[in-house]
Amino acid sequence: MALHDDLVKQKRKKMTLFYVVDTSGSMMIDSRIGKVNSAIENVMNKLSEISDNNEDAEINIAILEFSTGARWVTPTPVSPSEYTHTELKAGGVTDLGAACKALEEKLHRDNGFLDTSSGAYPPVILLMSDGEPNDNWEKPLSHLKHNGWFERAIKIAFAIADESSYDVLAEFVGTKEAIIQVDDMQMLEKFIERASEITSEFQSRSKSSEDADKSTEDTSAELVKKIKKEVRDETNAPTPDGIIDSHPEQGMKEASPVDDNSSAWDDLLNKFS
Amino acid sequence: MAELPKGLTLNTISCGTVKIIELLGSGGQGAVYRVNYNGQEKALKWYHASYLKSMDKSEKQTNRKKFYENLKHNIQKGAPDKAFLWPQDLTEESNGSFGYIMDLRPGEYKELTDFLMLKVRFTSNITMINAAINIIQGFYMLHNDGYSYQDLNNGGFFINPKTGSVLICDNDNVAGQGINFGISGKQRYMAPEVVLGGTPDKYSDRFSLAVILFRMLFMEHPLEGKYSTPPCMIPEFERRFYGSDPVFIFDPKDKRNEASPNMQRNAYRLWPMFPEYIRELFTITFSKDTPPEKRPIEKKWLDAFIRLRGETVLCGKCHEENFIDIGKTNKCCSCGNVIECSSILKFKKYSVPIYSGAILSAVQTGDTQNLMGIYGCVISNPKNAKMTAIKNTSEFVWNVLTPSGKAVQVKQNELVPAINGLKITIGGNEGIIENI
Repeated sequence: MALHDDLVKQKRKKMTLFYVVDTSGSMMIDSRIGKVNSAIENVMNKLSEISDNNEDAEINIAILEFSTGARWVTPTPVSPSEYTHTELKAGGVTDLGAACKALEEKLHRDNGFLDTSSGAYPPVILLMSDGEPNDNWEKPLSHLKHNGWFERAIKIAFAIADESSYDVLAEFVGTKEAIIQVDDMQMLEKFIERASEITSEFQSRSKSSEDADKSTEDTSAELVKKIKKEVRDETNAPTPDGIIDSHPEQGMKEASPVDDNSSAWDDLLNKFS
Repeated sequence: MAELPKGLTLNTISCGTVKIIELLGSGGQGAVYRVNYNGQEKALKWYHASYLKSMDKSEKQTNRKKFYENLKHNIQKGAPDKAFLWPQDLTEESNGSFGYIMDLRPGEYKELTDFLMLKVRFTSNITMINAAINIIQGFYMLHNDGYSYQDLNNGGFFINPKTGSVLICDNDNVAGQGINFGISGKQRYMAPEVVLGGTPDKYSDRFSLAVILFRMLFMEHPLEGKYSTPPCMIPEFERRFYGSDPVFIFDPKDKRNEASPNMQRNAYRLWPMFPEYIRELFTITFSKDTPPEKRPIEKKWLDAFIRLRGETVLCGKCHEENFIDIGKTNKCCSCGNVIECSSILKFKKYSVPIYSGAILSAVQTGDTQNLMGIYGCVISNPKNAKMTAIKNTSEFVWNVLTPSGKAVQVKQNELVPAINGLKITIGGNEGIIENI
């Protein structure tokens, strides 16, 4: 066998991008659901390209819709190149609790979506919702927050045309700085697309010394700033909301260093069951 | 500011003008445009204003003004080596940003990432080694000039798969020793001391350089094995597996991360095919016991790869390229045929194996400035493989002295029979054929 014959592709770590989409009846207003559908459909080519050219991570996507109850659109995570989007239809109420429960069930290696021999990067979760939940969401969210994968995921929420759900979304993503408020439906598609792209490329960029020790919330907030900035640059539109110029440094948690000689490593590993 | 509009004209610090033609690509720090620069087509790297703004906020000692001044200084000093797509001119500031001019990358140069993902392949092992030599030489010259690169990663290299010529991009963080503009580098390429919060320098460059070379040769990552693959690579684990406790997959003592035939299939198979003197440089560089300043310097890597290129022969049976160890019995990596080399053409520093397919490079003869020059090759008689000769493929006339004392001149495309004791002088450097 010659030196460079029979080479196999290096196994890359997987990064799963979760879309958690509110498909309640109000998403029909101003064709909100239509914009979400277009964005997901359109961004797959770009995600496929990013995954093909990224030697650090292979990108998979998973889609969960919730209205009256929650349903996985993708029975297992799929590569963006293999995914064919079927239109999500709006109707029913906003069962965020059901979505949290369904998400928690799959954020595992065993019987979940995150089983990979080559390892994984923390997932990205993009939550899109246009109103306050109708079900009992606190308990399922509280349970979800104990999931190690969720805890370390990049989490970004889209508050679509309604500020009433702002606090709930902040509870989900961990900080208000990681919410993108979208009032102009013409912008929704762009925001979803740019968020998908930027979060997918995140692992492959060079880091500055300022990036060290950033908490997951800090990182999500920083990515949201970047998404807003790029969409604003692209459209020459004014800042979509006031958050971009606020001070994310305030109230941010720092990632805690782990002592090399402690059993803390085992505890940390056990978080990713 | 969003994308620079086509036709926009900018001025440079050397009174040149830049006219935007089209956007070529965009990244985290900025975008690259095809431009008309004083009548010539060039590339313009234009920074995102937000990237420059973030420098002002940095707590480190530097800021955008220093970054700008550093680029200006690098432009004035010029490229340390032809391998660098070096900044050539700098624009004046406009709308909170600026950019620099460099040459456009010719289409035949492919991204290193494409090689690592098997989308592009080298045409031969010699070409791959040439690429390694060109990369090492680039950093040898860069470090000799007092610079460090600071952000070595797969994204900065473009290689011609047919020749091994290299272009090194993203030279904007290149700075003198001890100067840093806040960049740490890309995870998986950073040296452990940088992962742990240290500032990149030429020593950390050497670690990153070894990662690049290892990945190019063995098609895996040197620190990624079973031990260093947690279910989820969170920052704490990154600090541990690439920083505080990195374990080389071929560490001779620490077997925790040992390459396995299933998970590191390429490296597991390829590692034994390379000679010990190459493997040793990687082992030293990636060992936790090696302090940064003790990592092999570029000169050592260069010597090793020049030797490797010179000791590449073609199997007499299946004609596959093989790296041989002179003086040892070697088996063809493809057909298992025994490759025995019984004589060498010995120059002051390097020896050329007298075996079919071996090349006689300029640098082996002692012409150290000509890293890519080839002066000859070893060929064997098709009717009798044991009869070998050295062919002069150079433009020089070789002065040959036979063992009996007869002087002969050998011109381009002529052959010299490989006889024990025969001396060949090429450009003032004498080599002698010796049985081993």
